[in-house]
Amino acid sequence: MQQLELIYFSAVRFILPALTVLMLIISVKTVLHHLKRKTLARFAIENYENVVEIKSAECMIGRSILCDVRLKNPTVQKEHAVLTLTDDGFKLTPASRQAEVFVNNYKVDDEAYLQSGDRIRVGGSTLQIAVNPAINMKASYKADHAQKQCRACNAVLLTLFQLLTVICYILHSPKTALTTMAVFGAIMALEWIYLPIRGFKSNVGVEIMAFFLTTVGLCVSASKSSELLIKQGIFFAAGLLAFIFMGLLLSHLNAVDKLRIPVMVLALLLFFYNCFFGTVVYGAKNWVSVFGFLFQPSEFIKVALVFVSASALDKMLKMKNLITFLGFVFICLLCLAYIRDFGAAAIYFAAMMVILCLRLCDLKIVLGLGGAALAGCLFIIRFIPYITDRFATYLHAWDYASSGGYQQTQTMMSIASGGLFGLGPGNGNLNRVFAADTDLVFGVISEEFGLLFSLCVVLCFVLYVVYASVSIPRTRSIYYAVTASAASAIFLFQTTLNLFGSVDLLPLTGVTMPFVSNGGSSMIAAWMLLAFIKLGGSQYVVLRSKEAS
Amino acid sequence: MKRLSLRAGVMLALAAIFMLGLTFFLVLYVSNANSWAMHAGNTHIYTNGEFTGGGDVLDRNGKVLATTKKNKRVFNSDTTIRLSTLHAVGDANGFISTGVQTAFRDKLSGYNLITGLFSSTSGFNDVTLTIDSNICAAAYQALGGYKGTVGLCNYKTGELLCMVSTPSYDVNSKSDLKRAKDGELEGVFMNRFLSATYAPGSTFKIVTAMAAIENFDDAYTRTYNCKGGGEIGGETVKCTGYHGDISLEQAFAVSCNSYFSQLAVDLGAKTMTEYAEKFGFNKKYDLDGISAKTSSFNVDKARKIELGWAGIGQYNDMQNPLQYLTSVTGIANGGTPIKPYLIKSVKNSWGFTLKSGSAKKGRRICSGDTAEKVAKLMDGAVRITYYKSSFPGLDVYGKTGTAEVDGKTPHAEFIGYCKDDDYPFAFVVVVEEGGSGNYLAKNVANQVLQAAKQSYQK
Ligand SMILES: [Zn+2]
Repeated sequence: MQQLELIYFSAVRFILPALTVLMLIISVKTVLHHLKRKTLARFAIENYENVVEIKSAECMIGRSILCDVRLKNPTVQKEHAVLTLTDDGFKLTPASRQAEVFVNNYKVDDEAYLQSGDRIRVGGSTLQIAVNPAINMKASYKADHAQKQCRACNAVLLTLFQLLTVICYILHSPKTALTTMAVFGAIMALEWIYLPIRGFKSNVGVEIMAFFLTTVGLCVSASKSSELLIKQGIFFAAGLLAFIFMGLLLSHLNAVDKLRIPVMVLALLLFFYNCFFGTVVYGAKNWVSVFGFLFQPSEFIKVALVFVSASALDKMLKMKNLITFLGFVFICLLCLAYIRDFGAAAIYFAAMMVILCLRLCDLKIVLGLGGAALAGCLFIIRFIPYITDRFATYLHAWDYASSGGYQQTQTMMSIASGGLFGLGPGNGNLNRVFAADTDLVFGVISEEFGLLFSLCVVLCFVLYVVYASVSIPRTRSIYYAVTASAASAIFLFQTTLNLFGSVDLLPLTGVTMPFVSNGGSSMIAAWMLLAFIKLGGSQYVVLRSKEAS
Repeated sequence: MKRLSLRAGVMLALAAIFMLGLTFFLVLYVSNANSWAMHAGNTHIYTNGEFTGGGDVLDRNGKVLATTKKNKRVFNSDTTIRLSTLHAVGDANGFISTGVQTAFRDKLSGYNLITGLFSSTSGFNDVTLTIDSNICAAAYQALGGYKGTVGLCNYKTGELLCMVSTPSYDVNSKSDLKRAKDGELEGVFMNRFLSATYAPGSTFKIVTAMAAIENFDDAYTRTYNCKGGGEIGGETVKCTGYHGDISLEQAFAVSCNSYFSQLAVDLGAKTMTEYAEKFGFNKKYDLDGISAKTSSFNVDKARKIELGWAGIGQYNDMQNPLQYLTSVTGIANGGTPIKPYLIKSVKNSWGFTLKSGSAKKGRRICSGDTAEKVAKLMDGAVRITYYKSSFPGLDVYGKTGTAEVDGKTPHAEFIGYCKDDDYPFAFVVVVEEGGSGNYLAKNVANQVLQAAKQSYQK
């Protein structure tokens, strides 16, 4: 290695993790910053005996302790009525057929829109509503201004990171310098077009983190070959477009609800096509070729699964809604079993469990389903021969270091070789191993950038989960809460299977790490899923001015 | 939404489980990363299973014993040096597990937990050994085809100047390696200096003498009778001569078995065990962390006659050459041994010294007074039996041993040191099936000592 190059690499291997740690700390700060929830309406119960403030855009009225408006009257059902803030104002819906609801002495059959001063009778209780006049129905995507500098700062750090990395690759392989510069330049340009348009006032921290993860993915490609880098660059652009489109679509809850059934049907048709006309790649028939392009339907159907997983609270309480969803997931799982994509099946199932849990289903049902599935999995692993074979080296990779455990042991060797600070971008050997750029990416980035860096990378996914979780109470609709949680949980599950699979703590299933692993379907699907997380954190009711409390 | 907010805890639980898994992995990493990185499948430091990811291995004079050129491990061009330093340097395939190239491959490759194998891009580390390849070559030639081992160190600094084990094979010769792998060369992959133990024979009389000096006030005046053997409980321990009534100094000089076996019985099993252990038997020894086979002395279930045999280094006594050499430095240094070491220095590719070896004191084996008395006995033995003239220009104190092995020619052993501030050499020589220690082992010792002296004169 040249002297100059060596000095640069020696310095950069410490600077890159330092930048990353800094970015992560700033991201944590913006994520954990909690918005104060405003009062949207007040309920005066039984002639001002008691006043309840409504701070969520969707709430439950009933006798149960878990209701937002709790009425301790035996004539009230446990879950009696649902109050939803829509574009047209507050809407009241009876929670079930038995629940009788009257507004100004008129019985509500389906739904009723409320105005300030309306008197509501729920069972034997009466309530009077006072709506906050400052509510702005059309407002969305408006975060607080306090964190603006943090986001801008992170964007600058990210650009710095990208510049330093590009120089590494140029020094390492001067022959492909032009390609490298072109792709990374295009990426940086896209970022700096997108971010100012969206504005640092809004919560672009979500996107900045994804840009960072995508950059890491591009590094994995760049270390392997320049053709791969170009491909990944194009997929990134496509993913960003898909993200913007999904964001626009999801902000219209009514449209989402109308699309629910068509999306299910389309997804299942695609799956059936996959089952019958799919292409087998490395043992799993999970590829479909359209006009010469190979793609993985299961990646996109995963997005569909999240898309149809919920509705607004009033619609979601209907039994039909839950049954169609469960039916859809069940057929998906059957298809995945048929095409032998067990990694994806695990992801789908985990996502379903999270969704059911957040859809307020009975926890007993959720746990029962989980237990049954676990037992089923163990049975399959134990008794179906070709799957048992797959597990033969699991937890014994070092005993099969040159055969079945080759990928895992090579990953561990590479992680150890990289140490905390890595060997420098492009200096790794792991990328020569089969499927390293998809299944073993944790090893690839650890080897080249160091363990400290790769830990920061996976912590981004933890941060997404935390972000989704803290956005739940303030989001406009349960739909955003459920989908954001499901999407972030999918990210974390994939990371879990990918990371721990590659170091032999879990079976190696060939699941990708979102944004980081190579592959077009995976990249675009990850960006689409990101839209759910983004909306979960930005769809909440904004008051017109400060004077309203 | 209240209920949903409560259920949001599920999400945090998922994150927590993931963090737990990550922590588990990190613990695994910290405890295992070294062995992961050093695995023969790691392409950063291995080429087709051959260790190539290390810098130079040099002897104390800077002579290159092994280096990497074009992804190939290259050894010294001199055949005798290759053969004599094989066990110290090790091979590229890891057959010799105690060789520097295997036991210290992490140091050679510059690996550590923090920076990993960054040296694979910037340049590997060089390891300088304390051994002198010329002395090793002389020792290899002196052994003249016999199996055995020679260890020689500077008893003031602890530097191990010579460590040779035979049989050896030439790492550059494929046919040699094939013969070695086929088992034609018995124990060729073992460094006898570290991993073998031998019956100590008469060299053990040093321990018995020590015990007597410290326990019997009349140690120097008491006599035992030798009629070509000594009688213990109706059985006889054979002696090589007919010495009559004999005292300690004489008995040590002529190596009278009758005297020392009866002395051991009078000292008793408990005292003998105590002194054997003080001397280093049943204790763990290591060379820069490479552990040696433990010397053993166990007379717990011995009958009287067996205790007698144990007192002259037979019965089930076993000595390890490294332990013996260490203990000899103890006698030379007034009771406190110096631990021999092999790694002189480790330097990175920029010439920065990462580690340098230094003298470390071992556990005291006897009082200064006793050490002086034992030294005098060893001086007498050379004067009377082996002759000082056998070691021209050097004042050697020593004791030979002839270890009886069932049905074979006995092993010849010689341990001792030079009482000379300019040539502070302690040595141990074992020639397997070499016959009497007084003959072959003595000659080997002399040749090695002369080579060492020559090397120090330069
Ligand atoms: Zn005698």
